[in-house]
Amino acid sequence: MATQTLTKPQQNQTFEGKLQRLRQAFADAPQYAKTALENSLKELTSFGSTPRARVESAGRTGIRQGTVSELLFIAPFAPGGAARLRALLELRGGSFEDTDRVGTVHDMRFVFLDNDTKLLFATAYDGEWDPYIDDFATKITDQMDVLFSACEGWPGIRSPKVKDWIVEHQIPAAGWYVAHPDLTVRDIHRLKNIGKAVDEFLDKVGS
Amino acid sequence: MLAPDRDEPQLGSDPNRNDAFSYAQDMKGLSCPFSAHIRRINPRDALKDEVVAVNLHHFLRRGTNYGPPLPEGVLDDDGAERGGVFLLVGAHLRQQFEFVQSQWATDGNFIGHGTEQDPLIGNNEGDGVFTIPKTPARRRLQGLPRFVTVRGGEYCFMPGLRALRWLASLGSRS
Repeated sequence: MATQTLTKPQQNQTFEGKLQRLRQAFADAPQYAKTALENSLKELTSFGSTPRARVESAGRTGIRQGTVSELLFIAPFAPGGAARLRALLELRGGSFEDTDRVGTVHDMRFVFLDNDTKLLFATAYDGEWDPYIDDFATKITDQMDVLFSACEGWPGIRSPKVKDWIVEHQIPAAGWYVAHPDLTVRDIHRLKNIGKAVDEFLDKVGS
Repeated sequence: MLAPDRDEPQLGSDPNRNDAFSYAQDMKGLSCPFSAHIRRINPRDALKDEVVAVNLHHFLRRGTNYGPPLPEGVLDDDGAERGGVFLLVGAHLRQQFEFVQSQWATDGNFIGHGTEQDPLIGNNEGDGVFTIPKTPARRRLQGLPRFVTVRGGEYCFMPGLRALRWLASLGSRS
């Protein structure tokens, strides 16, 4: 069963309405928290009504800001799964060069919860993963299965049920900050190359 | 791809040669821009280093034109009805038509071109950009107009031969 947010965000609420609800929610808060709220509201109200990037849905669940989407799921480990995943991650030692090939993954995080009984997996990626799931199943079958077979009930990346499994365990973020919602991983590579080339050019011109 | 620097009419009329090309020798897009319709819609081996199973997104395509062509040199619309009819025959709408439409035609990220769309069939806002890789500096066409207006489309189911045989066998039994 999926973990759902307890209170659904209300649609079409005005900024003033949200502000009022926020103050009501803080009515029982400790005094220092109320003071902190009033102090931070000065800044919050100046940009709160005009978000930098539109927050929208990233496919079936999860949210998306500009080109960047978030996916987080919590799933129980299969018997022995936590030990397998931990050993795998220790061997990798933070190296995920093979993930570069996907070309759309900003980050991935594997967190062991509740005394190694559950996995929290969180990632930020470009666009949608749904259209590419069959490509992943074909091109990076082993890389996906060796990681996520640690989870109870993982149907295998080739299974037609894999999307349902992910959505079932996924928890959409209630809040999420993206510094550059308009830049994909590929855009960032391109800009880095341009920056490097410009620096080399300027070094030559200035020497 | 086969004659990037000059027109070669014999090549165009030779069915044994005019489709015999790949993009593997052109990974910088200098012969055929990454964003060209023909390369986006059928990347052949252009995406061989990516995590994309290009075979999953293959389908049969047939196109034809209707209406009289505009005379040579005429750029103003004479009001005559003209356009194209495109038939896609595939086995999986989501993996084939919808994937190509959403990922390769109306998004440019897969070729590192940000939000640049297919110059022919994307670009519905009429403010398109088309990047042409060149050395020493790439060229970029701005303000590309909209070339195509979609009048309609239909998803139709065509049973395969096996299904037709099965249906026929049902008829003979009753």
